[in-house]
Amino acid sequence: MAVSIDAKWEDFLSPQDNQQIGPQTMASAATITPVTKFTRLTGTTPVSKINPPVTGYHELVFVWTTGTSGAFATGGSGAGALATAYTTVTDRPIMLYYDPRTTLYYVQSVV
Amino acid sequence: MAVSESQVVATELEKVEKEIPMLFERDPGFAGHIKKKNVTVVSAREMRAPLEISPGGNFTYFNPDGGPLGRGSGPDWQKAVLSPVYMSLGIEYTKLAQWATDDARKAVQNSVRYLTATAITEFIRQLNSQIQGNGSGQVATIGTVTAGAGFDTYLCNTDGYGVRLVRDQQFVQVYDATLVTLRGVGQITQWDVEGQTVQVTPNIAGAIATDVLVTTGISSPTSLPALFGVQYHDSNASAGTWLGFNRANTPQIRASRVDGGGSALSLPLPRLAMNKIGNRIGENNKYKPTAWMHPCQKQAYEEVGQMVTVMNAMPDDKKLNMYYGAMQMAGAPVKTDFNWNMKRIDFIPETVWGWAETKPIGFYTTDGRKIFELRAADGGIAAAELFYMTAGRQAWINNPAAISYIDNLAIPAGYQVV
Repeated sequence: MAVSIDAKWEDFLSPQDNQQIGPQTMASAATITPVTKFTRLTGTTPVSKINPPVTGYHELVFVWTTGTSGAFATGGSGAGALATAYTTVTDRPIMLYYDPRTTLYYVQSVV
Repeated sequence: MAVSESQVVATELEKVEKEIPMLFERDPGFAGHIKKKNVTVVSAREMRAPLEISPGGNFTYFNPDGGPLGRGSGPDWQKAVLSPVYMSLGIEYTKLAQWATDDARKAVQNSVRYLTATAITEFIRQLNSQIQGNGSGQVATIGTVTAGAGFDTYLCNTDGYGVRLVRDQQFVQVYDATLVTLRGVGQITQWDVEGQTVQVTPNIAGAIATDVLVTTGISSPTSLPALFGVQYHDSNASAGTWLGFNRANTPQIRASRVDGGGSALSLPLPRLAMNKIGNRIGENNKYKPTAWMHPCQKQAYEEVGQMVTVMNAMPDDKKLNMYYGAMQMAGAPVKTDFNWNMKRIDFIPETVWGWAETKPIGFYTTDGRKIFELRAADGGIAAAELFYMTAGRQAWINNPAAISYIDNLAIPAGYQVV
């Protein structure tokens, strides 16, 4: 039996202290696995699935850092798929909310 | 048809070897060597160590036939000041790890008992890493970065420490070479001492060669908030500070340096280093330096000895031994520590180094409790526990003039990845 992923729930809280792993930067991909609440995404590959880092309700913040902003896309399968697509704006944080009943992430604002 | 092994596998016994070998070390090294009598108990207030830093007195010739004798002066006493820094080693385990191993009928080793028993030796091992430092908390220098899927691999083959000063599963901060820009924090998920590489998870964006790994819990490494180690005290730097002194205008508090010039150890260098101590504090001083070095420099010294060893034909019953055991270097006994910088030899008297200590090494306790439960996100108890080994102390020396060092020595072949 693996250690429960919920053992890391503090890394998805705000505020955090200096012993925690803090914001991370990762390359955008169809499926990503954030390790902390705040993640910078490089590249322009659309993200269609986010592996939920904890089992219950949580919120994640993403910032696309490339000159051409990326996108959150639908089409992912299984827990962590996105309910709606969203074209992001460079360097503008966007928050996603995870609903464990539907196992989908909901983008904070949809234009 | 014959009964096959797969048909009797359910009846087979499994054997678990009871002896568990350790595939790494927990050497106390230099940190463990600092004598207990050199521990000074201090409060959280700054500790003051008075030092007589210059002799003074006005020596002059004079004319006794009515001439003036001039005015006088005297010695100068200044103070070194230091405050303890606080360090902890967190050990965490799940309840299942405890329950599955808490009886001799379940496991060959009680894991929680083992964790609590070894925590103090692991803490001292970490101290022995920190005591090599310069006060910034820096523990490795990256030579090459290779980004993997979800982790970075850092080859640390430039500063002479390899990855000896970090430990597996430790969290580290990645800073740029100036220790100003924090690139990110990650956990060491693979630790290859021989290959001088560490895997840090997750990827640290922007990490490049010349970046450095810094111990966590430090947010401003340039202000030297960590343990003052060998590179801090045993330094002839003329910039920066030493225990409150400005190195630029207080040469008395600088240690003496011998530049190895990137060459292999040669016999004049240790003699020069020892003589530099004599030049500073006199021939009949009370200090008896020990030559601390990485075993690779002991090998370099041995090779010099082997070159001049004369061997006569031995009778058949004598065993050949071309190697030396105990060594002395210009009168200083040789001691080795695998955490020592491979390019350095430090001449350090035992009596000079000490600890200023607010909190001795021991469990972090509250109301007699040493082991604390984790909390789950819902506010209930999580099925995991943790405890901390902690200490509040600072390392200091009472006489930088009594120590010297050789640096920039060539590392004998085979010790550093090229």
